[in-house]
Amino acid sequence: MARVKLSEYRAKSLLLPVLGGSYDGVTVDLGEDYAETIKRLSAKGLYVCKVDQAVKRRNQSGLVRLRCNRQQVLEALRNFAAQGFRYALVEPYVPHNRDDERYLALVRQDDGIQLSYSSKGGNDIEANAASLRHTLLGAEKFTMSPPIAGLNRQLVEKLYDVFQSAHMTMLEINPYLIVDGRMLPLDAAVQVDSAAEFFADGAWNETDIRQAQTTITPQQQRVEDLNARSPASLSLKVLNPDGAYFLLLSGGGASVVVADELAHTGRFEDIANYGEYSGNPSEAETYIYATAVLELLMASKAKRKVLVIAGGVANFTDVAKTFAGIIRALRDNAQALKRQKVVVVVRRGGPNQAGGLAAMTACLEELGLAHSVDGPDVSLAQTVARAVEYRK
Amino acid sequence: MKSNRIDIAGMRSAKNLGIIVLGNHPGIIQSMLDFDYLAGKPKPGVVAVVGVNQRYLRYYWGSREILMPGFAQLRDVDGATLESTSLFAVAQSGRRAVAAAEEAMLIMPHTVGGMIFAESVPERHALRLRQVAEKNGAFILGPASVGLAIGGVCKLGAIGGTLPEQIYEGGLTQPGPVAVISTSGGMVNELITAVAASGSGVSFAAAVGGERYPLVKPVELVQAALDDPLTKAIVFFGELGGTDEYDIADLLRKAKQRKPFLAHIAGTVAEKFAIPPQFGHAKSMAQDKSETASAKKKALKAAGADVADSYGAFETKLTKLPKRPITSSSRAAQDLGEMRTRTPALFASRVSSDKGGEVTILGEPLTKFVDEHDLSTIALSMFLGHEPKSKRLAGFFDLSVRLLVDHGPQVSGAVNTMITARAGKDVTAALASGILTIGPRFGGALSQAADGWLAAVDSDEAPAAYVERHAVNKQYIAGIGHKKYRLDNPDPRVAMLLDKFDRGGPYITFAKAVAAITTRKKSQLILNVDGTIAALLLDILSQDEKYTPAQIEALLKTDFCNAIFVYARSVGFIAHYLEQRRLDEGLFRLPDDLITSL
Repeated sequence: MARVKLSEYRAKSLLLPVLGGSYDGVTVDLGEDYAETIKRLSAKGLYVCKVDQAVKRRNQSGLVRLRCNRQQVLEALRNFAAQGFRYALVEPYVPHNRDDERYLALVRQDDGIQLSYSSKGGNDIEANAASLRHTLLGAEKFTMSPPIAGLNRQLVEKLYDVFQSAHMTMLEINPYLIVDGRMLPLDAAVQVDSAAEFFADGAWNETDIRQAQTTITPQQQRVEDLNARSPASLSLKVLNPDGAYFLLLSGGGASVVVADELAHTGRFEDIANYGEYSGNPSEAETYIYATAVLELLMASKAKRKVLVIAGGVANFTDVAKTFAGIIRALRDNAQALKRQKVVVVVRRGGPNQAGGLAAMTACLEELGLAHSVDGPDVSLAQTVARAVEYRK
Repeated sequence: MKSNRIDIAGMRSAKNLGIIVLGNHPGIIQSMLDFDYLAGKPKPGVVAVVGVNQRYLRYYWGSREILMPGFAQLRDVDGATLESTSLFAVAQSGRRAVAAAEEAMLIMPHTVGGMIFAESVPERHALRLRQVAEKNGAFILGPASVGLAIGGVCKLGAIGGTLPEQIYEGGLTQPGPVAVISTSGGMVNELITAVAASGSGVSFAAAVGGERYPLVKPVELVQAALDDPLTKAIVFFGELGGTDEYDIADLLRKAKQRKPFLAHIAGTVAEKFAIPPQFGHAKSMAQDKSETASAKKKALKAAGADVADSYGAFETKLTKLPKRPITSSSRAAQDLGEMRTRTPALFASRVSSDKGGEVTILGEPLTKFVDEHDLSTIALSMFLGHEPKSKRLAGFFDLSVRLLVDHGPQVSGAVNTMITARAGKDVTAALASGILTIGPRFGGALSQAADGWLAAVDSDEAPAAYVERHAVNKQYIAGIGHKKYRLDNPDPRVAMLLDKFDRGGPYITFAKAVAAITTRKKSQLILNVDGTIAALLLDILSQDEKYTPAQIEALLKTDFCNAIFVYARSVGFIAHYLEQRRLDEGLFRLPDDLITSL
């Protein structure tokens, strides 16, 4: 499906054994009682304590704390938890000279794996972009042409092997040190191909995947769980909890078109959510998905809310079946939707569209909600224009 | 990159554009058949479904049910079928899809291309498959593509819809002047519909799929559209993420052919976020500024493409495409009506039919069929489900049946028939009691012998090893041994069969080699009539009837050999029944001294 980020804990647990060491970091779930775990750390040791989620610019945002004693680790963790983070990482602090920090990254491309290296690693690598050297490694077999001066070929080959076997798509080690001839990563970021979990042979699993978001609504969680179990594809992201346009869309392409058109007509701030269902989900799956969107809609403080149920002309997603799930969710929430005077704009085509659209019209009429229901004769852009019109 | 990898005109003019579908996805397969039917093709383009346990799958051709051959593995598909195919469609899970496509390119001799419709194919596998496809000079849409449709020619995948009305109304069943190329599977159909609504039609349409590494790249489809003489204009739908549009821009600048290129790139909304969320497809995330929708629109515009500022503007431009009115026929309207109400039958049969009193056998009127064939050929044809290809099989079947017709009243089945007759029962009960005796020890050796010879020869087992294996497991060798006949008193039936039909085929040679070993141990352990018929039948099926090993195995599984015996011996049983009724000796009771009471 997509490139997703692994926890740094998992990333280092994969890398260290390959590099001839072992990883003694501790992963912390801030949602659980972690005091006991911290007590087991040596009282004399110094530690690094950092948020272990897909957050960019951790250093600059104060989400990495260096040289912490045990008490300071506990304080840092409490602070991270208070900011709404869920996962953190505690590992021994390695004193070093910043001049020894190096940079190495591997990125999968369609012609092979690009390697980037700099002897001037660390936080300001972007400022040192001119120091980066690039080369290409083979897509399937290890080759490196041209070689990079000052970079050990055997080390690269070891990283290449773990990169391939774990189906990584990006590996960034910044910075790392060379200690006793071995690579010691201080900070490691890994993206993997989420479609390859089965083939990665236990290197990682879905519990190792980290999202950037600090908090996730129960509705989003439900949709994520649903998506993980279903052969269909379902996604839901909250953009503005108090938005006015709630999108119940189908199709990866059409859903982007609808969001584009709302933004194009100056309604970007009013878009409450983005998401889509596709791949012919069942009636029950569509019901759960629609219920999640409706719950978000009813919780929004916006006035004159519009529910946009739209999609292109489906190839094989059954319109009547998926609409039956949406209709069931609408009926469940009929009272609240009426009270909030929600307007419903519908546009869809595809297999069994006549039956699906007729059932939708009948339902919305019965529930007494203002609505428009159209097939492919009304275009996607016209549909969005209609939704915008309702709020003028 | 070869520029002619996707040769649309070539596919349009190909004689054999057969499609093998890997993975049974009834909705998609039926829609491909419906497309062919509505396009007025004489027969379905889909010739086989692979990856199924059934030997036949029911599908509709128009409103009539047909049987689609099914195979467990691609290598089970017979040569004639493989010869007639050039396209494949993979509708299997992400785990198996890549292996299936690789195998298809290896086994299908004339592959020009295929499509894969799978969720979650790993990037590495997709990249490897892309190389394999390029090496084979074949195109593969996917790994998450709804497929390719060539107006009036073929529909490979779910593209264009899965219901007959939708396929027909989208105008795909007739060729048009506009190529529709889309990264998104949903949008390709949206655009096909829009093109039809504008009074135009589709020369071909394809969805690349929203994966990061599509196997066929958008630029290759644009090249195909430029190369295709029927395509007069190109409609392109792209999304944020990836750099494919820059390749297209390069191509548009360099290409000799110039055709109107109408494009929209979705995903400008993402540029309003500090950190944009992942949009619909795996690829829909700009890695840097150049991958944003706006940047790619700009690049295409600079290369001379007609790029819309918004999707609404794009829709307006779509209404101004070159026209090609869809001609609707009254036959199609009637067909669609009938297709809407089709329901599966309870049974399917190709053996015979009775439609309003007109009986046919194997598709021919009963009277004509029986007039042209003797009884043995009629029986054999009906048993096989088709007429035999060779005279040899017909002759062999006829002799076997004649030889098996009876073997004296002492045999178990005949005894049972006679006892039942003397109990005053009717012909059906007496015949049934005889037939019900047929099994592993009486008559059934024919089936067992055939199974044994087939497995041994196909796995290259040596005759000595075959004998040894049975000895170790304390098993009789089916087809070997007789109560009365021995080396010095050979079975005249065996001699007759061998004289007429032994041409030294692998199965009879093996059977004789086995008997050569067993008769050294005991002179009764000769090759008997069951073993001989079984071995000769296998040789004739493979040599004269050109059955593949898989087809022979499937035939044996239907209990075909036992059927030969049951058919032949029923004559003997009926005769013994009638004879006992003529003699009318009254109820039979076994004399007391013939039972040992323990």
